[in-house]
Amino acid sequence: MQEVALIERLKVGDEAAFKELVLTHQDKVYNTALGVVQNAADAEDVAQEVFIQVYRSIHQFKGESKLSTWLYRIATTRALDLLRSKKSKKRFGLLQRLLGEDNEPVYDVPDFNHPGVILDKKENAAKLWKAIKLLPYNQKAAFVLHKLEDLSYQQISEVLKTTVPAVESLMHRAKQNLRKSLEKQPE
Amino acid sequence: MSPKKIEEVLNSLDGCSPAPAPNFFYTRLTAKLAKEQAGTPPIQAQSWLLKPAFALAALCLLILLNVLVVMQKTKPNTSAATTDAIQALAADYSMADGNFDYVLER
Repeated sequence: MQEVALIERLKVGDEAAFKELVLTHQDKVYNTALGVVQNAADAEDVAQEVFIQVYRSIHQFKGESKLSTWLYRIATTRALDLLRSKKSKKRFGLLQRLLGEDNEPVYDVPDFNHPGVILDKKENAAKLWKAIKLLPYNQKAAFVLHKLEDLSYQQISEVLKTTVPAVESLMHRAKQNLRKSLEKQPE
Repeated sequence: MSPKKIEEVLNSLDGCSPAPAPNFFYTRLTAKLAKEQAGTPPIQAQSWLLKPAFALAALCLLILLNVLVVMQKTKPNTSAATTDAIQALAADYSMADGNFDYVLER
C-alpha cells in the first residue's frame, strides 16, 4: 500500500516522494551497478541515470511488478549498456584516442574489489571479479543479482523478464564459465 | 588453480555486505537532473560527429570518392576521339557543314 501511495505521489511530481524513493533504493541500485560495471565512478553514473529514467518514465510504470524489481531491471540494463558501449569504444581504440571525448585513451581499471567483501576473502574475491568480468552479459547480471543482492532465482527471473528454469540455466553456465576461467588463473 | 581453491574463490562473495551509494548521491543526482531539465544537452549528444563509427564511415566515403575521381581521370576520353573520326569521315565524303542540301538535291 505504501508503495502504491509513493508511486502516485511520484506521478504527480512530488519532490519529497522522489527523495524518499532515491534514499530508500540508492544502495541497492548502486550496488547492482557496481557489481556489473566493476568501477565506482561508472556505477554512480549508472545509478544516477536509473533514477533520472524513473523520474521521467514513472507514468509508464503500471505496477505489474514491484518498484524494486523495476529499479533492478533498469539498473542491470543500464549497466550492461555501459559495458557494451565501452566494449565498442575499445574496438575503435585508435580512433577513440584520435577523436574521442577529451582525447583520453580508453583503458580498463585493473583489479576491482568490492568494498563489502570481508577482509580475509579479498584476495580470492579479486580473482573472482576478474573471472566475472569475462562472463557473457546475461550470466553476469544473474550472478551479480544472486551473489551481491542476494535475490532468489524467482526474483531474478522477474528482473530479467525470463523464467526460473532460464535463470537456473544462466547460473549453471555462469558457474561453469567461472570455473574454467579460474582454472587458468595461478593460485 | 586446484578444484578446492576454485570453490573457495567461488564462495568468496558469501557474506559480502552491499556497497553503500556515495555520499551526497541525492544532491548530485538532483543537480544533474536540474541541469538536464535546463536544456543543456549532454556532451555525448554534442560530440556525435566525433564518434568512431561516424569517423570511420566518413573516412571510407572520402577514400571511395578519391578512388572514383582517380579512375575517372585515368580513363581515356573516347567521346572526343569519336567526334574527330566522324568529322574526318564527313570531310572525306564532302559532307561538311553546308553541303547537305546540295547532296540531297542531286
